[in-house]
Amino acid sequence: MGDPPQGSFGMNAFIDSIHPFQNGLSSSGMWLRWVDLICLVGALLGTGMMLLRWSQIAAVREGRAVKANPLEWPSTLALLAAVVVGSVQVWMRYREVNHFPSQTMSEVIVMSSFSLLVSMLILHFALQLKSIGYGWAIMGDALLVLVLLGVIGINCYTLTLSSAERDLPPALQSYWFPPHLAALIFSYATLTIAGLVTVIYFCLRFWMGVFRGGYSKGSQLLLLACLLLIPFAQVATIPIFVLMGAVLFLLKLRGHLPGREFMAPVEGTMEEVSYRAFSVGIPFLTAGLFMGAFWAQEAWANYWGWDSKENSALITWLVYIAYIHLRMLGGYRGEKAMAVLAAGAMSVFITFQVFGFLPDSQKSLHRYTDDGVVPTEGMQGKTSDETQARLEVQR
Amino acid sequence: MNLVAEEVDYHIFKDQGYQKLPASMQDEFQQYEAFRWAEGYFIYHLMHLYGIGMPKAPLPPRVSAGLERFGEKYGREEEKNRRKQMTAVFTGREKLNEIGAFIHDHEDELWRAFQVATVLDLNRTYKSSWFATLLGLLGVSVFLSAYRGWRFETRRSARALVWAVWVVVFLLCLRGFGALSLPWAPDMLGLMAAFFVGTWILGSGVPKKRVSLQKAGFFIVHNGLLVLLIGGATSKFTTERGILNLDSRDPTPKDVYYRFFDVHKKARLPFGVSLDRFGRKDWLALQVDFPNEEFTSRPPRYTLWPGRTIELDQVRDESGAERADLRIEVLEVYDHAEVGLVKVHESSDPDAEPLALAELLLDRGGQRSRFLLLPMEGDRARLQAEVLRDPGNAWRLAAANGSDPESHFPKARPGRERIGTIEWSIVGVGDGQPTAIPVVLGETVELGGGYSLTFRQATTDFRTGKDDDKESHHPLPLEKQPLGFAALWVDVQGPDGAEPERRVLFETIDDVQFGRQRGFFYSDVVLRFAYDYWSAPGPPRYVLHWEEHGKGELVMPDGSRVPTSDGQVLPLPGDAEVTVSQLLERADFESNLSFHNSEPDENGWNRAFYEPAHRGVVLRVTRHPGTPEEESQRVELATSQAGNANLWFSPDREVVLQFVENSEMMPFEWRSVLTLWDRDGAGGWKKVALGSEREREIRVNDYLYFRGYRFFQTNADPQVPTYSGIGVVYDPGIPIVLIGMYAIILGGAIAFLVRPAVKGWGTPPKGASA
Repeated sequence: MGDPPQGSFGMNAFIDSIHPFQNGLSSSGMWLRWVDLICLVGALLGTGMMLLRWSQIAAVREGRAVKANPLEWPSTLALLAAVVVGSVQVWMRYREVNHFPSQTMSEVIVMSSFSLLVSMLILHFALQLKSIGYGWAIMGDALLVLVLLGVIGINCYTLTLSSAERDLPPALQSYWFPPHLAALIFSYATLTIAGLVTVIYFCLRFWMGVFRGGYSKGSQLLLLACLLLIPFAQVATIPIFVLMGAVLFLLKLRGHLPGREFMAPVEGTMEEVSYRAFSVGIPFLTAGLFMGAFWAQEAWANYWGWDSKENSALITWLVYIAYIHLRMLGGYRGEKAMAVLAAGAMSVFITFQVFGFLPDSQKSLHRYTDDGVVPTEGMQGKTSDETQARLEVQR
Repeated sequence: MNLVAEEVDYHIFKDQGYQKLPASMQDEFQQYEAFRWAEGYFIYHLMHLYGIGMPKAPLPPRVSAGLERFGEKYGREEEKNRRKQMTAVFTGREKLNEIGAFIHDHEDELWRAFQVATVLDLNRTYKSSWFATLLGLLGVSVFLSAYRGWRFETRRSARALVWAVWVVVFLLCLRGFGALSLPWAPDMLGLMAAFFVGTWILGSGVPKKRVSLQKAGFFIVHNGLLVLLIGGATSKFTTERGILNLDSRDPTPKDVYYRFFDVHKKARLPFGVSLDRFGRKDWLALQVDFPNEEFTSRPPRYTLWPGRTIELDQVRDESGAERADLRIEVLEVYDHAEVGLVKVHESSDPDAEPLALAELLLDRGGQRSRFLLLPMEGDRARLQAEVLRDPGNAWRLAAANGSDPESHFPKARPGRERIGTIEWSIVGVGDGQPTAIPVVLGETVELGGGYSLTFRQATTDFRTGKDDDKESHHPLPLEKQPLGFAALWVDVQGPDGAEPERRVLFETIDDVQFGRQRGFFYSDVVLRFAYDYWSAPGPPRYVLHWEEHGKGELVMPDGSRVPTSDGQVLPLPGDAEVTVSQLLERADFESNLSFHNSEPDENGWNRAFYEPAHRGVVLRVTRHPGTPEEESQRVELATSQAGNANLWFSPDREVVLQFVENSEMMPFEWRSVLTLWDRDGAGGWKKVALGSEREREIRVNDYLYFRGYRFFQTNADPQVPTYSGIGVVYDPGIPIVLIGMYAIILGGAIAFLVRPAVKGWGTPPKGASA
């Protein structure tokens, strides 16, 4: 991502992204809009499902028989449909470009939004939140709605990027290309969902502190700064922050604001949930990282080139390795562990999207995905050295 | 580091650029230039989060309007992409200026930061000693924590050994069945077996109650990490990397290569390498032009593969929906195309543009060749295709269609014949546009501005080394000379009255383009010569005249006429026999291509990759698809310009397809074939038997391994097609590191994926409440 988004994120862009019947769409473009449309329907169903949970909770409180939530299976079905249609979209793009569609930035981002759907589907069954309790079911619903909305947002952003096809340069024509990309993007998606859980938790904690107190002013300010000032907060944390504030404010008005004792178990469970999401993602992150090394070894007999993207991915991996060690050996639980996990998600974001702005990224091998960047023929080491060496030979 | 001296150099650099610095400092300042740009770029973006305050450069309205029409022809998606790309270019240029200004304003701070980064080795942290130390410490602490409380237990270790043997047997069986075909499989397999045996035995000594999946995962991961660090250290202390520059024209083995990051030090291989072959294949692409549109944007190129469908030329139907009016389907793609002579036949379309053409077969002593003769207009042959001349110089033949054949015989008396035409232009004389004048030998022509030309001599058979730029030394008179390279000697007289300049002009050579013009005395006088093969002196003239398909007459020099028709031999003098093959009124051309694909042999070797060949494609072009006017046509194209085999024009000339090998982007593939040589002890080389060419072939992502060295395809130069840059790596750490990485992946999967799948997540999270 060498340049900021060129288009606008206005209403037009949104309508464009959910309108599959417009003129002149490629088939992958049309299917992408179907994905968005299904996600929109799924998000609406999910929101409805979330609202109906309250009556279920009320029924439990009042000792009445709990009715099944009628929107539960339709919203799960919407998620499933989005995954199926997303696969069709990826397949169509494959047919349009005749290779695994992850070469340009727009292809990679669409792949990541698709992975987000796949990992949500997997986590939906792996986490089994609704079996824990109705409060946790709400949390699962919220996650589903956030992911579906996030997919629409990401796809909206994709439409500001060029969708031009590019031929695969020789180095990318390797059997490692699909697994390397797919493992990394899947792990990014899953770890992003883990990060999302931590964001929900920290927003909840902040607003509970505001409405109920119990936290020091310093920690509240620090939290506020982290939530609002991180790069790209407007698409990552601020919407959740505002939404949670509004919901808790409403609860406070109606006198249903949970008590302070509520936070301790919430912390424990959310931390456990985020850990499970992490556990699904970390093996893929590891495999993706090292598959890149296997590939580089085959291409240049160099398993690690200290390329800036490799370094950034390694730092991300190390943050997660630190997390697992702090959690298992250092006894980190609850908000301390979740803070590290959130740092990991931030690192994923930097590696994946902010990377193009980093000082050392200009000469990176992994800038293939930019528009207008044609990799030079010298693909390893300093090109100037090679040129000079060649000049010497010619002399 | 002498900081004072550096400060001085820095000021020189700041004011005059690094080229003014002593050579020893140039490298560092070049690095600084890269550093300040990278940091400036980063800080600039940090200060303009979300693009706030960045320059906006909207597309000029003219560009925008052009793109709208472009989108109608090439599709909305292409239009949007162009718009995005052009906006990025317009905005990007402004932004880069701002970054440049930012760097300029903060030059001193950036220079300080560069010095700090240099002192701390931040620029290449991974090469620094402190980073290596850190990794060493990591290894030690991983070892200590993984083997905390370890002690040797005979029974446990014996049991572990038995298990380990089973694993090794299993791996060997896999290999026996050919299920594992890793590169250098024996090494890798041995190392992998050693790794698991070691892990198993060592793991048995760690006090834990029982063997669990989690414990196995933990042990495999941590031992994997230790192995990885050992491999990394091996690499760090033993690796040699560089580039070997080979050229397939030079068969002598090379053993000197250039080390990366250390250009001045050459390194030597313990053996020699030479390049047998080098090949590059580009992507096949189709460029679709709409010549009536005159777009300023370059038309897109579509990469071709069998089964691809390209839909273009959007039109709106009654409902307002757009549909493509042109569909191109790729039916077949070939890596070899032979381009034969163009086939001609009478068009089946009665509305086709009239195009008269005579196809003639000339047989001289059993050698047959085909000629296509275009009818002349007037008595001047502008094109060589308008006159067929007897190789034995007994006759020349022109064609006439739709005109009186008599009118084509020149009326000039002998000695006053027109030799050809000259187009002249003189800078500052007249309107500067070229003016055509007839050339008659001996005549002088005033050009204006005081210049004049005198035509001295001509030849149709310029002989290099015998004729010179002053005169022709041809032994035969002009009319008896064979047809070769036509030339004309002229005197250019300038307004200054000086001695005239003698110039020789060649047909088909443009003096300006070939750089001859600058060498002329009157270099402002530009002359272009075209020989007239009909009106110039030569053998007797005959005219083949026809007004309907297949039936015509031969008009003799004396005006008498002999009827002729398709298949008849013309009554011409001399020993060559000319047969009328076809007399056409509305000629239609058809390219004459034959295609085939070269298949690699069973080892994957494809010699054809290295042979220069035209490539072919078969398309189905459909106009107005899905409407009653739908019309499909099979189109064969080759990447050869011979006979325009690479072009296809639609009958209405609204669409032009151009088939190209897209050499502007990265190629489809590069390959090299190497030969390795040992020194024979007597100062010479002897070949190392390394097997077939496929076994000695390297491709991108497929290297050659020999005596610890790995050779991979890394560089090429489109300007020097025989050059191949071969990456050289000596790194014994590679298999060790790979074992470590495989182990970490495996261990991680066991701990995080297999365990929960087998045992579930354990107890549900506590505190389930609402």
